[in-house]
Amino acid sequence: MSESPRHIFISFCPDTNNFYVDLYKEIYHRDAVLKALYKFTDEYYVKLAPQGELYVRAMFEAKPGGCVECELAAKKFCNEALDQQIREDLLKENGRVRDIIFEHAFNPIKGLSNAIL
Amino acid sequence: MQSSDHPKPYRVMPINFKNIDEMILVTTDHGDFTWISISDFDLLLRGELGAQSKVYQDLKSKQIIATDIELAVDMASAKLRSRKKFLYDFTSLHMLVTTVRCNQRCEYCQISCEDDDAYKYDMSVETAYQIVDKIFETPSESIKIEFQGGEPTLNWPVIKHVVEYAEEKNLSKNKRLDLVLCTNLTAITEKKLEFLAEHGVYISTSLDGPKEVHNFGRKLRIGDSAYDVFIDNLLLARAVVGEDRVNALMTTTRRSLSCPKEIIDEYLARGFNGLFLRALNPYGFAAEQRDILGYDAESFVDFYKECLGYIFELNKQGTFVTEYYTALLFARMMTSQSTGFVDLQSPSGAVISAVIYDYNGDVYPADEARMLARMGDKHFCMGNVSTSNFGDIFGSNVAKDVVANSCLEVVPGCAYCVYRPYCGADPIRNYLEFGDVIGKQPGSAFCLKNKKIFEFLFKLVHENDPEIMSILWSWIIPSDEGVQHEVV
Repeated sequence: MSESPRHIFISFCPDTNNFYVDLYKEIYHRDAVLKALYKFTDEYYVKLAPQGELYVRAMFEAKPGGCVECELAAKKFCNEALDQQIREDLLKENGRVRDIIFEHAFNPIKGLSNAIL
Repeated sequence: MQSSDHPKPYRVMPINFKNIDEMILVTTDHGDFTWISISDFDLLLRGELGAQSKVYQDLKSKQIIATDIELAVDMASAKLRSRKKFLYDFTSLHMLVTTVRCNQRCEYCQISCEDDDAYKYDMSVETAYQIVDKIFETPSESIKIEFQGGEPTLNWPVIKHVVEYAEEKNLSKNKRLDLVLCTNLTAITEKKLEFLAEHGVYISTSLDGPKEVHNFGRKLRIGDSAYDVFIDNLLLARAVVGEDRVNALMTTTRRSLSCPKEIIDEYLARGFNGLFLRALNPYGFAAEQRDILGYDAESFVDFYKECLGYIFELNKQGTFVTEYYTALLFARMMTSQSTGFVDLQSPSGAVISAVIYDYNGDVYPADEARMLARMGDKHFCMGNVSTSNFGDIFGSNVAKDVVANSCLEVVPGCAYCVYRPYCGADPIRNYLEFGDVIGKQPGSAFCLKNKKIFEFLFKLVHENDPEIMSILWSWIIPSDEGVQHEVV
């Protein structure tokens, strides 16, 4: 039986406040990873790059005065990525419904902008 | 997410969610919400909720899940349309800066006010007439004209002309016209009050708390205690204009944080039956004096909770007192009604709900934008009433930019926030803090404050204490006496 690939690797750079997280692309899609990363840009400089064919690597470098609890931050990022991926999956399922709801809600005022402006 | 290849027996509608203390808060775009356990949330996502379970019925009744998609979309759309009804009321609040002069020099003033004798900063009667003409071009059925400053009463002739001219114009336009004078009351006279009473003008004034707290932030340019003059004139205003026509706003400074009960007691002692716990905005003098006046979001929310706890106790003891910000948020959480509040709307209330006309006729989407202009940055100037027509002003690129970029549905970090259906954007503040109108909401003081307050209120609703819930409902539903308090 072949071993299934691990979904997440976390690595810390010794003596620095840097770390990186490799995420398995089949599980974590681009948009979810980007949205998760966005929440960390206050405290870290972040980069995203492909890591081989199967993974994407999120790299974190603590800003001066930023959070230095790398392990905690890495775990938070993993949770955030999962959280965002669930939202992405839901969006795939119901995004069109959302569009229809908004369109239906504002249908009576279609064309109002042209009338006013 | 799906555990099998079988189709789900229901469809999960568009939702946002957040894990709070090991329970999941789920909200929808149309504003319904529920709390469910993590295990039920897991079942929900897998499509495995039993149709007979209470959770299933609850979620279905709130259009969080749907079996009849057309019906669910129809109901969700109707609720969303109702919540966003303020969009149809374009633009109802028009603020006029009759003068930038002020007889006070408040520590937290967000506009650089001028000395009492700097008459070049007064609005001319001609400009005032041009503004009223523009105001009555609004498609909104209701018009509220608010006089602001500086201290607006220092340019009394313009107030008088605007009131009379607006009433005259409204004879043919037949709009719902409200007039509000925002004044510190320290320069008011009985004769002026009689004019206000005669024309049904409301008074919105400022009371920060007991004498020491009020005088800490609000200072007369000449004389001793702003509080003493204010209290004398408040009594006079009530007597002449009528008790129900005088309202007050408080601003929270660092000095306020240590005396929540005293502030509320002061409001009650002065005959008010409600107050709006308003945080300090980081503009103008308030930004310059942050070390003396300011505080972080956590400190404000602690203060807010303490105040609310005391207000609940007072209500339980039979003293009816409302906290208006809570009433606003509670109404948004529990009903589909459209609740206009310029500072917390999506898209922003700036332009759509309110605009401000500077003393020289320049038009801005918000008071803070006017302040920026005073500091030399006219980025948000939408035009001038003497040279621009209504379409130029309200269809300006500035107006479009402010509206388009303040829809939380497309703001990074906000789009997927569980509190998004109840929250709003402040594009001018974003521009000030981040250099662009979208800004970075998550982590900002504005976001932290509102998130914490929402979390607190949603937990309160989840606890479902009958007494507390009854008090909260009484704030948004007219009582037997028909009392309903408008959020200012």
